[in-house]
Amino acid sequence: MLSGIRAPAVVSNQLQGGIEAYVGGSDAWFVALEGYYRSYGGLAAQDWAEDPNDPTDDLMSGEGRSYGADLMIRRDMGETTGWLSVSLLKAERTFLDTGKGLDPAPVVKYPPVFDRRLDVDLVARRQLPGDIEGGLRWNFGTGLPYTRPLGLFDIYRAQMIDLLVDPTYATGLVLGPRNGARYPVRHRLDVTFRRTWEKDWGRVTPYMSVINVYNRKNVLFYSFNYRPEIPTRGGVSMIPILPTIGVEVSF
Amino acid sequence: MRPNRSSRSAPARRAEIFRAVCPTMSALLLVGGCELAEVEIERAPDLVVAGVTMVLTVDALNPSQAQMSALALVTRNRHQNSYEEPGATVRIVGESGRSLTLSEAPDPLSTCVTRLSAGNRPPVGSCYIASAPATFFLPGEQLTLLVTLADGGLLRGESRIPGVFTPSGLSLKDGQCRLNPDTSYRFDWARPAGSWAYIAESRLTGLGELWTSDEPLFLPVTVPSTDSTELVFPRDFIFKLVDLMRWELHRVLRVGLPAGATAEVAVGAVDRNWAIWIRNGQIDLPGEARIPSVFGDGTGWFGTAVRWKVSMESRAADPYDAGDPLPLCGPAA
Repeated sequence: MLSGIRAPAVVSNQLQGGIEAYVGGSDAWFVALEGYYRSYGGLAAQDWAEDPNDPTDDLMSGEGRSYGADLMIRRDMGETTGWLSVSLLKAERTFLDTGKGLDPAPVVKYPPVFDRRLDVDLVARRQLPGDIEGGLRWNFGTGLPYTRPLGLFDIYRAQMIDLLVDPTYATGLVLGPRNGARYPVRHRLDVTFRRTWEKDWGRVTPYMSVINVYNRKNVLFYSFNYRPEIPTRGGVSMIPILPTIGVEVSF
Repeated sequence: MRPNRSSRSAPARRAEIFRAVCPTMSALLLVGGCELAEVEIERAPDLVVAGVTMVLTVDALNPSQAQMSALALVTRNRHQNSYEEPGATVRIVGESGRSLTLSEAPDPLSTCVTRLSAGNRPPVGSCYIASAPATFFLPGEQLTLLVTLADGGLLRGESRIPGVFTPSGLSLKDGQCRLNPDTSYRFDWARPAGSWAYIAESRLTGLGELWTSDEPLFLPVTVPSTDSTELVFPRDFIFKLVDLMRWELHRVLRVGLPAGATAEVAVGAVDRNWAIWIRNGQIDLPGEARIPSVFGDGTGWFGTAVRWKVSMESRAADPYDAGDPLPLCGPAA
């Protein structure tokens, strides 16, 4: 997005530092640890209560900050290789809460939709008997924030011509605190097996992989149905267990 | 002699079966795996919603002749059902200290709701109404809404009445004027202070075969900016008439009103609260999050507006009658 009179310019101050080293016999392990702090000004968000007569208030400017640490432990030597990465993050946004309707709008602080506080990746590769290469990846992440709907009501239109209530209606929604709820933690294990045959003309590698081995129903998003007598929550999960087989051919 | 065989080989048939089954299985797996089981959740707490309007109606030619009317529909939503909210005290207090108390209407459906058409379910709620002379509150005055519920709950909102505006160059007699058949008329006016949008509505009758419903043709239009200060009638009112089967009605109204048709036209300048409430808000799966202007023990909106209203009829002037009872609204657009 180009900044200008209608959109703020993002300015960020960043402080970052870390250490890294090879450790262990023959420097078999690589370890890196980084920490960071970032502040942002001029972040843009839609102004839901913008004045239709003012072309410069469609987007409003806000502030943000994030801080965290990343740890990486990697092994590139030996029969088993791979890495473990651990990320800690806390992010925050500060904007005028124009959706509240108050004039002047109050200030709201909330976690942005990418505020995953803990993210862990474990990746391992190992040569198995029969020249088979096995690999696995396990990922764990704490839940992302979302704004939860709390209830519904009917919105009626006020007619201008006779100053009465028009029975045509829309469905109004009461929202909870902005990004005040969180999805459950997600985790998933993927495994892969590959076997490579070298040929005169090239290389053939059949493989089999299974995504989400234990069929964890990680939540993609929730849907709330407040129409029944007892409201329900449904939703859609991310990818279920998905085995695939294939052949890679290179020549 | 070779046995009779299909023209396709076994591997080809297997490949065909695989091609058919594989995507189906994958689709079933994906669809079945992506649905999360529905779980019951706690019921939403009671929610009181108040929709309150205060409108100053001015004479289109003489804005000093005016009338104020206020209407509040107060609804209690409990477990996704709507109920009336009787016994509330609804007051509107001006900066001058004057206070207008709205009276509860005994029969909300007949008093406060437009005629129900087939397929519309009636609004539910308690209706409170009041009218006052124009001088009770003044244009530009800040108003405070106070709704005290029977259980002691309090809802509050504030609004500033927009400035007065009237159409320019319009000729009227007792609020009525005449249009030549199949011609349009351009309403224009000066931008009123403090308004955020215009809501214009027209109600047409006498359209003959073009509109055979028992109910008048209702054409609302919202102008989401007060910089635009003109509307061509009826052409600018037909945007929401999306019934493509009525192309003949579209064609006729793009040009003007057919002979014999009559129309009521109201144009209102609305305040910030009204403009942001009617605008589509954040859209979620179950509904829309509108921006409220009533706060406290409930939600809703408190909008103020200034409006004028005229009646028009479409007919040619009688060449043998020099004293036509209705003036021509103005030159054709």
